[in-house]
Amino acid sequence: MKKGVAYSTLVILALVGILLVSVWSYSQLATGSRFGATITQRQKEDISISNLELAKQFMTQNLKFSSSSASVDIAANGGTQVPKTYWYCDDAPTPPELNEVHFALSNTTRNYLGAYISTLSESELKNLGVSVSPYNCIGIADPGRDNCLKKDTSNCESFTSSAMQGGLIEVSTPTYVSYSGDLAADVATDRFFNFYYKLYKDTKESGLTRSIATGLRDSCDTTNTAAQRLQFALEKACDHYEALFEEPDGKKYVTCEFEILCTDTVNPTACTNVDCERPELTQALCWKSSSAAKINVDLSALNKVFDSIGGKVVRAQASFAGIEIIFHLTDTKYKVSSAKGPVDLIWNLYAVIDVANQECRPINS
Amino acid sequence: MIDNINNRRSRKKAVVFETMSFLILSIAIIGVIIMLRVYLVGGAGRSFGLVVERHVEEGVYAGANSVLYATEERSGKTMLELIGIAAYVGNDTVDFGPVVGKINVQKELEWRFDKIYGKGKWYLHVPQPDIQPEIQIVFVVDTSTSLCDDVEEMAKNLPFLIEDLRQTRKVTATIYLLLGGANCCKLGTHEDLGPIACSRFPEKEYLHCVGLTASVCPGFGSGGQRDEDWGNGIACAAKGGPKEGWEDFSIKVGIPLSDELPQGSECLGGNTCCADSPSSYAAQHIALQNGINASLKNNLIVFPMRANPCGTVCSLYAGGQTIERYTDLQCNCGNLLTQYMNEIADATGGKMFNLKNPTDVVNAVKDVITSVTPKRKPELVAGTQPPVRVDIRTVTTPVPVSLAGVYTTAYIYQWS
Repeated sequence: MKKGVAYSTLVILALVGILLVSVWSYSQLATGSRFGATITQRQKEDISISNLELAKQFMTQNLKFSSSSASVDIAANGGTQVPKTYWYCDDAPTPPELNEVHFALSNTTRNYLGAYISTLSESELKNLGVSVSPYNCIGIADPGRDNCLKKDTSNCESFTSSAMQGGLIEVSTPTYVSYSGDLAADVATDRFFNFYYKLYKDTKESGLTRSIATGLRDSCDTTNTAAQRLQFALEKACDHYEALFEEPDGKKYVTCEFEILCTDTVNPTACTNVDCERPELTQALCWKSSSAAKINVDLSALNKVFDSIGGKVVRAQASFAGIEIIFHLTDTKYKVSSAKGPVDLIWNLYAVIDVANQECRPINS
Repeated sequence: MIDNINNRRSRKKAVVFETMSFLILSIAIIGVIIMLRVYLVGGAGRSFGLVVERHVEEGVYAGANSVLYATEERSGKTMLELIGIAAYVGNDTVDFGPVVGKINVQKELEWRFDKIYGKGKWYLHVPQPDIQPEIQIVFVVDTSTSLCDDVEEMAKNLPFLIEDLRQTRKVTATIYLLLGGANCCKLGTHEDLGPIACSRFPEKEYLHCVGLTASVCPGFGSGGQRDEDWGNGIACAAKGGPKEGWEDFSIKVGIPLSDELPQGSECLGGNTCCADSPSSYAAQHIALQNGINASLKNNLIVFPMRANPCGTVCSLYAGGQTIERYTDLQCNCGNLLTQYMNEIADATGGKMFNLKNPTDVVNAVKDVITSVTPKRKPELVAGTQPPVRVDIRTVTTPVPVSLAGVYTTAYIYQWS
C-alpha cells in the first residue's frame, strides 16, 4: 500500500513536471510563432513607405515630361516666354541671356508640373492614398558653356531639372508618411542647351548679319534682282546655321528654313520699325541658393568678341533692305517628348535687320 | 489470516494505483505531444509557408520595379517613360529620330520580363488613353460658276459640321477660295445670290475663309485662268497652312473641291475634251505636280472632291447680263479630272470622292474625318495571357503619359 502511494506521489509529481514543462514549451514556441506571424505580415509602415517611393518615382517622371515639353515650347518662342524672341533687333545682337532662358524654362516646367499635380486624383496614386502639393520652384542645371560649345555634342544632350520649395508628397494610408525634399530628373536626350549656347555665341559674333553680307557679295551678278540677291543671301545664312551644328563626322541633323515676315528694299524702315526689344528680366531665379544652383556660367567673354568687331551695332554704308524674318532651326537628331508627342526640337530665331548694301565690284578687278 | 488478507488487498490496491498512475502519465504525455504538434508545430509550418509566399510577392514586386525603372540603352529613357510615350502615341513602336531609331516598347518589355519572371509566366497590359491629335483641314475651292450650288451648300452646312465634330475632338478648317468668284444667280428667277466669296462663310474660332490671292500665296495668281487651279492652290495651302498655322502633331488634310482640271478644262482654248493623258495637258499636270510635291513636303493628306459637273448653272455678269447654260464641257470631260484627282490622292495617302449632289459634301467630309482618325491601339499588351486555376500575383503601377495631366496604369500579372 505504501509502495502504491509512493508511486502515485511520483506520478503526481511527474504530471506537475510535465505540466510545467508544457507551459514553458508553449510559451517558448508561441513566442517564436508570434515572431513568425510578425514577419509574415507586411508592416503598415512598409506599405506606406513603399507607396511613397512609388509616388516619388512617379513625380520624377512627371517632372521629366514637364521639362521636356517646356524645352520644346521655349525653343519655339526663341528662348524666353515672350512668344517672339528677337535675337537681332535693329541690327544689334540681342540674344536672350542665360538667366532669361533658365527663368523661362523653369516657369514653363512649373506650369506643366502643376497640370500633372492637379489631375493626380485621376491616377492610380489616389487609390494608394497619395497626395502631392505643388512645387513653387523648378531649378534648371545645364551642362555648361564649355560642354555645349564643343562640336561633339555628346556632353550637351541633356539638362537637369529639380522640383523644390513647397512640394510635399504625403501618404495617408495605412500610416502617414511624407517626403518634402527636392526631386531631380535628367532630361535626356534634349539638345536645348546645345542650341542655346551655340546660337548665343554665334549671335554675339553677328553670325547672321555677316553671312547675309557674304551672300549679298557672292550674288553680285547684274542679272540678279535685289529680291533674288536677298533670297540668295538668306539661303546662305541658313547654310551658315546648318554648318554651325554640323557633327564631327560631317553629319548634319539640323535643318534651317526661313520665313520672311516683311521685306522692303525701297523703304527699309517699313520693315525694321518693329518693337523688338524685350523688357529686362527683373525677377531673380528662384533656385540660386538652392540645391540645383550649380549654374554660374560666365558668358561675358562673348560680349568682348562682339565689342571687338566694332561695337554694339555693325552699321554699313547704305541700306539694301529692311527685313523681319524668322529662322526655323529643326533638330532632327532626337525626338523630344512634348505636349504634342515626340517631336523635333525647333528653335525659332526672330530677327529685325537693316541689311547693309554690299558694293559689287567689276569681276575683272 | 486477516493480516494476510489485508496485505493482499493493499498490494492489489497498490498495483491498481501504480497502473492508473502510469496510465494517466502516458495519457498526459501523449496529450502534450498532440497539443504541441497541433498548435505549435502546425502554426510554425503555416508561418513558414507565409514567409515563402511573402518572399515570392516581394520578388514579383521587385522584378516589376527593376523592369519599369530600367533604362533602355538607345533612348536613355526608362521603360516607364517609354510606356508613357507609347500611351500618348497610341502605338507600341515609337520613333525617336535617326540616331536612336524606332523602339518597340512591347518587345523591350518582353525580353526584360522574360529574364526576370520566365517566359510564359507573366502578362502586362496598359490601357492607353484616347488622345486624338488635332485635325486641320484646308479646303481649296473652285470659284467658277459651276460650283455655285456646291459652295452654297458648303456655306450652309460646314460650320455646323465642324462644330458637331468638335464635340469629341479638335477640328479646324480654313477655306481657301481660288481667284475669281463667279456671281451666282438662281435658275429661272435669276435672283442675284452674290459672288462666291468669303462673306458667305461666317468667321469662327475654328473656321476661317481666305481668298487665295498673290499676297497670301506669292507667285500664285499671275497670269492664266486661276479660278479652277486647285493644283497650285493646294500647293499654296500646303505650304502656307491654315490660318492658325500648321500644328506639329496635327493631322493635315487638304480638300480640293472642283469639277474641272487644275487651270480649267478648256483644252487648247476650245470647248473640246482633251485626250486622257497628262501629256495632252502639260500645264495642268505641272499644276497638279506642284500640289503633290507641296503636299508630300508638308505631310498633307489630300482628299479631292469632284463636284458633279453635269447640270445647268446661272451666272450674272457685269452689266446685268444673265446666263443660264449647261456645263457640257465639265460634264463630258471628266476622265482626265478623275485621273488627276486620283493621282494626288494616291500620292498623299488620301482618297477621291465623286460627289453626286451638292449635299454630299457634308457626308464626304465626315468620311474624311473618319478615315484620317488614327487607329490607336486601345492598350499595350505584352506576355502570355494568364492560365486559369493558378495563383496569380498582381502589381499595379501608375504611369504618367507625356501629355501634361494624363495618366494610365500598368497591370502586371505573374504566376509560377
